[in-house]
Amino acid sequence: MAAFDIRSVTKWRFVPSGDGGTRRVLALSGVSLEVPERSIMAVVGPSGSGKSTLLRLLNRLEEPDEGTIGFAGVPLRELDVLELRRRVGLVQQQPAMFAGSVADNVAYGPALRGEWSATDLDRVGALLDTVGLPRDFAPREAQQLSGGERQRVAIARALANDPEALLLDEPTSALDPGAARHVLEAIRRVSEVAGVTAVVVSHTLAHARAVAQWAAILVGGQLVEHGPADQSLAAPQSPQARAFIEQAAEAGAEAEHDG
Amino acid sequence: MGDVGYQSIGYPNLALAIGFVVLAVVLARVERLGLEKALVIGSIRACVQLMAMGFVLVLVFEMDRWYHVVPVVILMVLVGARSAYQRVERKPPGLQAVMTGSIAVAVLAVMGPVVTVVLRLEQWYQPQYLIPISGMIIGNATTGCAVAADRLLAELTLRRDEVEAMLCLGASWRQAARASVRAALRAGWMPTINAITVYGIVQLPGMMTGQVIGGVAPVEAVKYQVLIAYMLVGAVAISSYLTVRLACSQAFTKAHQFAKWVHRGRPQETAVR
Ligand SMILES: Nc1ncnc2c1ncn2[C@@H]1O[C@H](COP(=O)(O)OP(=O)(O)OP(=O)(O)O)[C@@H](O)[C@H]1O
Ligand SMILES: [Mg+2]
Repeated sequence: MAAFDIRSVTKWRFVPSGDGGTRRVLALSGVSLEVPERSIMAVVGPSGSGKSTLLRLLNRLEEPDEGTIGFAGVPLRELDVLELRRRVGLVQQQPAMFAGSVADNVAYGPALRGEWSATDLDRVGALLDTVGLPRDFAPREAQQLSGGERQRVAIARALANDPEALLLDEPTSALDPGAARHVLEAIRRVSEVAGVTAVVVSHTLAHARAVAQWAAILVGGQLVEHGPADQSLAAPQSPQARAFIEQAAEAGAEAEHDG
Repeated sequence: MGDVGYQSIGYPNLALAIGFVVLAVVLARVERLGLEKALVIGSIRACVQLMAMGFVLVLVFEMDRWYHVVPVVILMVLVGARSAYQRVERKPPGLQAVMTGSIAVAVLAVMGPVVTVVLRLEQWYQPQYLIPISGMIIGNATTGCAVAADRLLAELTLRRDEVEAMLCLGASWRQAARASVRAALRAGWMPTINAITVYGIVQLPGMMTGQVIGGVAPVEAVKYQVLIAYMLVGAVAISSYLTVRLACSQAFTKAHQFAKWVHRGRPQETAVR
């Protein structure tokens, strides 16, 4: 069964045009995609291809202009949106930390619903373990953390809601290779152990290959390729996907030489 | 009040005060401030507007029917709300109606008890009381609403990522906007709190000064001013609270998402890449 069932989804965006008015751009165009339950799907594509937009539609931060999206067999519009967002966590590209400690951040969701709070150090500690942060981070001021540390606190914060699905927007982009490996490992673990479905946007093909069973390639708002990760990311069928993979592979090779 | 012996100003004597404006104009010219025109226009406007208001007040103060006085107050509310609306940079849909309603409610809520219980006027609509006191209330409420609404939008824009992160974790829009609402209300209330805090020290408020010059015993004038200070606090609190609450609900959809207008036209990080 599909965790997410995305059917012919189109999303327009309004961007400021040079003359002070606004211009319509097509952020997603007729995208249809199924994300299998309890699996990890990587979403790759060039900058501006609609990856973040797709994630924002999956937890109803925004509405599609056309098409429908279902979660666990139910159209999103029929679900209570606050309950949907507890069940479907979204970790943003550059996650904002809330004022307060790391523990306050991690416990934000459960505290909203009166389940447990930041003083429950066992729960906070266990979540920090999961994302590979030392437990003594709990009392630290969250807004003073580094980019990579924030990213991991944000993942822990999303996991605290005990979600059925996790949407991760470039979770490894701010991390060094060691930390990135740790986060990818954590994603795989929650997928395997807790049965969480994950949709992971990634710029780094190696990371996508390392973590995902399935892959989708977006170019210019269109889904140009999707299927098993090893096939779609290695030998895509469509010419646009192939062009993107070649470019990304070159860029990846350069990055490895640099660092 | 004329018999209590205030010093009347003759028009020729008043004209002498133009000297002060001339002095400012000369200074502006010497220092090349480019303010000469603004000074002249401002001075003329002050004179003309006040004279006009004087004539209106003569008419208004002669009113002895509630259905003559109340429309004047309504007009003042409408003009106040309009000016508050114009001072807001980014306007939620329906903001003018929201502000008009907020200020009207504040005027009713504050004037009602004061007129009936505190002042115990013979006729509740006596224009000598109703008009100037409403004017002060509306003026402060206008500033409070404008500042608060402006700040709300600035905060929501600045905190966009934080607010969305909260929404992503299952917060309702009310919960996610709490910090922005708080900042907006603080900003809206502060000018009035600051003003009354220095009443009697740095500032002798206009009405009290006026009454004392007009020959009212200072103790009586002081009581009025204290009353008015407290009324201002109440009116600003009520009006800006309502405005912020209602404007904030316009900034979100029923599905706890940002309304599109909040971020439309805002420079996009992703768009310029
Ligand atoms: N808030 C927004 N307002 C207007 N336009 C937007 C907004 N966010 C994104 N866009 C536009 O929508 C399109 C898709 O953007 P999106 O952020 O989904 O791309 P992306 O694939 O995530 O890119 P990146 O890899 O750079 O994060 C782009 O053309 C972008 O300029
Ligand atoms: Mg993105």
